[in-house]
Amino acid sequence: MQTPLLAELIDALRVLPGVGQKTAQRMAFHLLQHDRQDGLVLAETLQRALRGIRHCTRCRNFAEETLCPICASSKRDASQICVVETPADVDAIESAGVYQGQYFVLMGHLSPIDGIGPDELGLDALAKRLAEGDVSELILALNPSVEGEATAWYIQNMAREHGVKVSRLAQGVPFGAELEYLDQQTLAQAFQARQQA
Amino acid sequence: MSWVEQPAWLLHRRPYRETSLLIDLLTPEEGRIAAVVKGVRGTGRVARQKQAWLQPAQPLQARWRARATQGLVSLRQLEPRGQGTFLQGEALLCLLYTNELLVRVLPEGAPVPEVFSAYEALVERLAGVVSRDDLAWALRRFEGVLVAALGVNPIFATDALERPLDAAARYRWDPEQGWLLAADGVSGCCLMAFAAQEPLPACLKEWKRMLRMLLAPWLGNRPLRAQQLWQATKTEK
Repeated sequence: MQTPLLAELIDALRVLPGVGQKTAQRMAFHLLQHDRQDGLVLAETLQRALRGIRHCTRCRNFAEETLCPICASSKRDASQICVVETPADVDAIESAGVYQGQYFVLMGHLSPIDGIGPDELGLDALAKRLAEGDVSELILALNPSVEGEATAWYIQNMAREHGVKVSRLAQGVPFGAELEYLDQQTLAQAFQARQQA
Repeated sequence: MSWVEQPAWLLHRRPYRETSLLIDLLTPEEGRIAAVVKGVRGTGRVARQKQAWLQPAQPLQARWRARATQGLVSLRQLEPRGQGTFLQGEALLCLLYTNELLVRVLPEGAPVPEVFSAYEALVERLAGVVSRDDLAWALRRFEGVLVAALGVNPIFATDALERPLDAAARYRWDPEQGWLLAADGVSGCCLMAFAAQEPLPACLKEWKRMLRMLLAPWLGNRPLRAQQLWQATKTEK
């Protein structure tokens, strides 16, 4: 028999992805039995993060100030904007360490059937940035899916209106992959986008 | 325990739990089905392969256990049925429109072999279109088959009073009565051309209005978001 607070804690932990009833229960027992101090730190950090983290007004990525560290940095090239679907994509590109420009985070992709249109992706804010005239290249780093393709096409049209060059990440065979295990689409795209050696 | 195996097209997918997807499929004999596919959202080889297959415009073959009642089915097998079609730009938007339309209007579980064949033909046509007129005609032909499958039978020959349609007159559709004379309606000439499947460029806008009238009882006041996206694209241009 669980106390009401314990039941509430288990229920609350289940909001996390991948955490079902059993895992939530294990987490709750662990915090209460072995790690109360760290649990309190966790609770306090959660509170501060959820209250203090908002969206960068320029790129929509997570930020604690009006601008995120990337948009605020004078070392980043403001003439290049890389458009991605999620903050996790920004992290992935940043850890690859090959890009020095700025970002625009859509927080999703166009999906009419789910009610996600240009407004929900903040594309008016992107259009404003393009209209400012400082951007010379837009790099589309969207997921290779039908919705990603539709989003890319929409943004391409928008950039063309503002005379901004658009490039897209190459699609093809992942490094270290074996050709025989690749799906047909990836292989077909890799063939279509082959380059002269 | 019997199994159902059907050719299928993916209409919609959305994440479900940690590694699964909830999908809507269009099949000929089972119509639209809602299904759960497990083990799709991982980084393993099998999951990645399934992700690549589970895209609109990729013909699929699906297998699941026969069920007594309607509801979510758990797919046992899902594999590609030939090469997928790579659509871009406006053709892709048209496919997203069609998928949204089907999810909105097709009831679950009712056989729709003619809609399925028309969908296959539509995907093929979208891949080969060269103009907006081609796109519009491909969509209108598909919508024509869809309204017939929904049980609407607009006889493009006579009006509500069983008089032959007048090419010079204009008509609006009344679900109860049929074609009624209306000054702001669709041209009789275009109604007759649609019945004859003549792709007249001058009638494309009229046919669009006509099919909206015919589909209105299913769509109600909630517009299709893909239509709004299409409008936004044109405004952007």
